[in-house]
Amino acid sequence: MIGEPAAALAVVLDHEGIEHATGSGSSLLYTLPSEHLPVVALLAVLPLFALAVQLLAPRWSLPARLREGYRARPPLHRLAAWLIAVSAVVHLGLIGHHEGVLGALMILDGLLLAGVVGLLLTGRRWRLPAAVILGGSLAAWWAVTLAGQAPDQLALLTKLVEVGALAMVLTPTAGARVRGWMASMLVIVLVVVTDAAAWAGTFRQASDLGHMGGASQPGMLMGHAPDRPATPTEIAAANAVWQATATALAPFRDPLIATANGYQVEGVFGLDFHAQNEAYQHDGRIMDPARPEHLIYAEGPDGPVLLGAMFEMPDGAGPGPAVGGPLTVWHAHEHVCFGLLPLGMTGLLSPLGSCPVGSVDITRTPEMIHVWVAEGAPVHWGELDDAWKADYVARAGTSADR
Amino acid sequence: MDITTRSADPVGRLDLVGVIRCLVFLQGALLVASVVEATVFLSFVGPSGAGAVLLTALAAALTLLAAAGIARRSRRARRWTFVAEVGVLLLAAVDVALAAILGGQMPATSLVMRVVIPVVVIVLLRRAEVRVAFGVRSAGGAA
Repeated sequence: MIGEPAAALAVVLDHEGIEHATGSGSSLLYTLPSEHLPVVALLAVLPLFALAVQLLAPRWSLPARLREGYRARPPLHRLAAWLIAVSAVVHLGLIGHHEGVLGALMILDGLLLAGVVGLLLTGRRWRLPAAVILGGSLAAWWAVTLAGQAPDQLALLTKLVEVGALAMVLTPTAGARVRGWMASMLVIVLVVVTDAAAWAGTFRQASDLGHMGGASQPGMLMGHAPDRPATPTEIAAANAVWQATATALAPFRDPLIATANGYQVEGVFGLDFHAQNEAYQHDGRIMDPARPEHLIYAEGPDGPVLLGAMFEMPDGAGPGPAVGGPLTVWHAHEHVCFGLLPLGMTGLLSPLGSCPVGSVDITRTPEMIHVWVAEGAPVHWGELDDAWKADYVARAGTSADR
Repeated sequence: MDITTRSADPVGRLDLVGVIRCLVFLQGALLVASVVEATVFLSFVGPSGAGAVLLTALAAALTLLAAAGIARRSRRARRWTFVAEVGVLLLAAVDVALAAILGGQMPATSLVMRVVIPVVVIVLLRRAEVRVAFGVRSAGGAA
């Protein structure tokens, strides 16, 4: 085994009193913002409206007509009516949340959807208008999302409701087999495109605004960096940990030594392969330069190239010690899909709410921080640019002294 | 995968089967989207994700077939759908438990797709008129 941590770093291992970063900034993709909660509450207007129709039907003609129109519909169309009404209420409930053309379109969409429900309940032809308006609503949302407006859970739920309603609207009557197949294909395409648009919009917004705009990359929970420069003490502490780590990691340039020390180096691929050490993950030690929980390798032309390491907090241990203040900001991950067959990460939770089959949703991981020991790395902590990594790996492949 | 509903019921009560078929079909479509996602993630997570892609593709195909079987009033499709929905609920329960332990929350879309819709499908599949539509006399026996 590699040697014990340097005594000078005892302050790191005993991290009581060191400023902690608080993990936050959950992606909008998995969040229902508090300002949208009243819109959800507004949905209670629908059963109240239904109750009013039921009570007033014996006295007034319009409620009676609506009630009879509803009862005359088969269950599939009744459910479609409810779903379209939900979408209408959400759109109208968002008045004031969006400005300009987008706000006007939301109102128009809400009114048109409400009109479709009216057509359905009064026994008029409704399926073609419903298909056109629901399709238009989805297409408009794709455009807005792809332009870089990340969706939240309310938007995603509303789009799921609209796709479900559209599936019911498109369901043909008996005998229309070809139309049934086409409708099926269309619904699948709508779901896939809606999912893809949600991903694209979220990543685009995160890329455009970064963490400063409050937009996290999906799956990433960044700690808050203290809004001040690092103090001389923090700089010294960060440098001490980095230096100790760089020294401790030197032997692991040889993957065989890493394997002998318990790191799972097999199958290195890409620029960011994390070779974990299960024993170190459960040893209860925090930010021990001699026992990082993961080594980070890139796939080089002549084998794995060591780039750095990743410290990981023990399960349930809370935030990591920000020994270097704003220089050492820890992060965590949210909604990671972890496959059980075989064990390993399989992706991130879908915007539409599912992991691949055979995977569980890890809602929140322990906090972790990257440390980069590759020679000449532009940063020692946090995120390292992929282009730099690729260039380093290419140079390492031609260097004899790697 | 044909989503045509064959309703010979003049009052439309049997069209509850159409509702079930639509919900199961939506689940299948979502699994197709999940296959696409998992395939894209393969480039990030490496070969360990291949098993998930295959499993999800298999589940998507079976779910879409089940939706088609439900439209045909197939008793086997009803039975398999029932079992699959219970399985989805159990896995959702695992995720809810994990979220409670790890301190996160299941997003609303997860709850709808993995709890609400399976519960609705199970409840509808057990309704008397639906059992009749599938030619099932009781919850456990066939006509």
